[in-house]
Amino acid sequence: MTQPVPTVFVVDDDASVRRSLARLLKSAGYQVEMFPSALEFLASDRHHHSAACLVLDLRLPGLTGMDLQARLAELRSLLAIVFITGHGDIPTSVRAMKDGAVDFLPKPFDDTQLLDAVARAIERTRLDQKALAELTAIQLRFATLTAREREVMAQIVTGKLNKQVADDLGTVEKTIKVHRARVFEKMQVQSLAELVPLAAKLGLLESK
Amino acid sequence: MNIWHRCWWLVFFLALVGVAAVHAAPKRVLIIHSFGRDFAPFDTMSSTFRTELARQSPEPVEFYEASIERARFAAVGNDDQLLDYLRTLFAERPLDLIFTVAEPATYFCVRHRAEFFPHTPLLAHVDYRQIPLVRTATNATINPVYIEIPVLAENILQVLPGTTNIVMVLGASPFERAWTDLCRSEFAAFTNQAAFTYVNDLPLEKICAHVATLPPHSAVLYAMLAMDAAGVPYEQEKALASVRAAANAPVFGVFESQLGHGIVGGPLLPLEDSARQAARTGLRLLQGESTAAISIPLPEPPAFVYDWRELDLWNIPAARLPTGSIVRYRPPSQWQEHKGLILTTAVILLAQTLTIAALLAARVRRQRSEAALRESEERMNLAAEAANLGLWVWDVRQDDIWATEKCRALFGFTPDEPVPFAAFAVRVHPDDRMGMEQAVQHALEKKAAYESEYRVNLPAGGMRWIGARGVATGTGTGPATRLLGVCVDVTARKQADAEIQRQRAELTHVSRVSIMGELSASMAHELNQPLTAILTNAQAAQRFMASGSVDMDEFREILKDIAYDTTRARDVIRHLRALVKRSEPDFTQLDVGDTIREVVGFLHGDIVARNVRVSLELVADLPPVHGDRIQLQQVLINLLLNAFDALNGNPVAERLVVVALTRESSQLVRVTVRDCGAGVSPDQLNAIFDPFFTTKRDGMGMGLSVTRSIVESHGGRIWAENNSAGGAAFHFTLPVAKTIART
Repeated sequence: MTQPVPTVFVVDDDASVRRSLARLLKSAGYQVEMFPSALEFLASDRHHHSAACLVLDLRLPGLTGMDLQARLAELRSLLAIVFITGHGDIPTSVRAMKDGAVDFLPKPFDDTQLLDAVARAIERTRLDQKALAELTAIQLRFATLTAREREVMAQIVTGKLNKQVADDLGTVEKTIKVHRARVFEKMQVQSLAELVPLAAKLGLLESK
Repeated sequence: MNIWHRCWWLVFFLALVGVAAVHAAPKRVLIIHSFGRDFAPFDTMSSTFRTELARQSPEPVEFYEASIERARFAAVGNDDQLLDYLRTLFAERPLDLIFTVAEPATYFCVRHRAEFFPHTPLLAHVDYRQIPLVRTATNATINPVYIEIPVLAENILQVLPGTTNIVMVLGASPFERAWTDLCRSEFAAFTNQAAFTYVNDLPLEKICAHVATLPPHSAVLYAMLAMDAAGVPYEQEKALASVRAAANAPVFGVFESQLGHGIVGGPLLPLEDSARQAARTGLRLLQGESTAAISIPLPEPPAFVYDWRELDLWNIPAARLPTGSIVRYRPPSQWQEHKGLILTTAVILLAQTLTIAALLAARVRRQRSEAALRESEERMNLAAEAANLGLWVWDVRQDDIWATEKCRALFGFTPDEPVPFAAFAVRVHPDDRMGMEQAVQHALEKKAAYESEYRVNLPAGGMRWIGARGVATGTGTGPATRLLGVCVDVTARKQADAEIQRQRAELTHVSRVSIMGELSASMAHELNQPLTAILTNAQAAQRFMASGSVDMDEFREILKDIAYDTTRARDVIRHLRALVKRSEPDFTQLDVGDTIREVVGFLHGDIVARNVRVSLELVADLPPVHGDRIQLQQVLINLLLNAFDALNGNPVAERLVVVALTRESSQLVRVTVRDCGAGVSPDQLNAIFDPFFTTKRDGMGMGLSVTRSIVESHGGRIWAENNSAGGAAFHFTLPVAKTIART
């Protein structure tokens, strides 16, 4: 499978730093897009790009790096972020990492440090995109189930037998069997073993 | 090798005189001779000093004597040997007084004052022309010998009218040659009446032969002959005796000690009296008085003293002698024989004269007293105000400044030289002269008070600050004809002022360095930006090369960026250094707008980190101010950081600081730093500039105090007020630079 050349978005208010980062990233074979501020990046509407990552300066005039991270989360962007900072403190970096940043590099950093972080971030974005695509597919299938079928699915993935499910739902075992077959068919699985992970991704296993 | 060269100071001797074996600690006095100790006329000076000091001192006095011999021999070694010798000798025997006789010894001590027992007072017995030199030396004072040269010629011409040829006798030593040169220039005024010849280059026997065959209308003026041209030294008055014995013309002298050795006489210098005065001064110094407390003795009017035998021999009638002359060595006369009759007549005459004189005096006194009263009142009022002042009166029409001895000493004028205004003005430091002259001009025109402070360049080198006050007076409606007043040495106060300045600078510096702590995050950011760009560019270039994709244009761009960022980093470091460096204020013409832009650029890291906006409203084309760039930056940084702090509680959208530069008046520009924070509590608007006032948890409270002191030292004013729309505004003014002269 051929992948497109990944793009790295660089947001830094220092033009000279920006240019140097662009050169380094290009030397490693990436496409680079540069933005002098967080707002300009948001305005470019690039945050749903799939084969990409974001190299983000923590200190930016107006919207800061942390602000942008929060905004992107609200926008459900999957872009993985590598923070760079001229003078970072530990509490800030911990928070950034907790909020999902891939790395937090104090300036000045070595090329390998940055390129490693960028490679990991791109991989993270790719995996997250993949996971999201899968989840979306499952959700689409799940959406085709009737209310009764969803009830039956929620019950059977907990390991209950058809009879128990029938008793709980106040019906007969034969009816449950029919529903069960419909669920397998619509969720495109052959066995209960295949169904359980999908239910997990849909969040059906968590609370009882 | 000449023996004198080899051991010139071997002619050095130590004498211990009058050591009383008592229990009190003896005082140690070192007498340094210029010649040996037995050379005239200095022998009179040193022996009288020794005798008198020993007699008057309550404690025993040990005298040590050294001779530097330098006066006699030009080619001598350096001073080090003698210096080492004396220092070694007295290392264990602390000296209480150093007494120098004549110029060479005095020069020696002044030259090495700092290394030659600086804590022992130095008393120089030397010609008054050396007063300024001695005054420059620390812990030194002078007992001057007032040798006036022209009166010597005047005396000869008065006593022997028609004299056309005067032979001046001074020896061949460097010291005597120096005095010969001085005489030559002072006698220039008399060369239309008499020809002067000098015999420095002759040995004594040739001098004798010369004076034995002088033409008519000749006279000999014998000053001293310590060493003749053959290098033979003559102690005491041996040479005078030879000259006098040979001369076919009258011999005149200079010193009272020469009287009786064959000189006619004249205004002779009373060296013994002078040495007694020196002994009194020496005693005060031995008793612990400071040299600064010793006032320099004033010249006494010379006594005209003549030898009757010489007058008689050369047929000089008594009528030619100045009134009040003293004639010595008169043989017993009619006075002794008819003493009773003469006395009776004299008493009657005296009684009559006194009666008449008393009546006349009473009348004159009344007339004079009225005129004198006004002047004396003015003078004395001023003098009474503060003792220890120099008094002066400038007669504008005669252009003559009368001044007390103290006053003259302050300016380095000798007691007798006439002082026109120009001679005074030229001593004033060029930078202060114009101000002083304007003050004088103003006082004269308005007949008003005069006040001025200026530096005086002393003729012997060195400088002192003088504070002068006075008043201009005159009759009628025209400008004043007299300016009189006082002056005082204010050097010490000026030095104290300078010390305060220094401490203020120190505080300014400390406060600046403490700002650096607050700025360190910002600084790190400012440095890390260019470093990041440099490192990243360099590594990108390496990668391009490794991959073989060498794009020369790209490389050129990379190198250009690296150079640019290196400059940036250097500028940040320079700026840091300038702020941290302890340096003298450097006042130059500054564009305040540029300074504001520099500081805002410098604080960029902080501005970003604190998420504030800084808006500049700078009026263009304002005149430059006269100021220290670093200090003004410090003021702006202080005010901006305060403003940023004030915005901490505001939402991001309301974190705005405005820096405005406007014209306050034709002479002032105004800088305003306005925030939209909580403002300052109205009762604290003034107190915030006090030292140690702070509202911050970790503040020292020096920032605004130092800020105010900087602004005020620039001649500006700083104040704070609350904006009607909320927040505080700090304003300061700065005077625009004067284009002609600095203030």
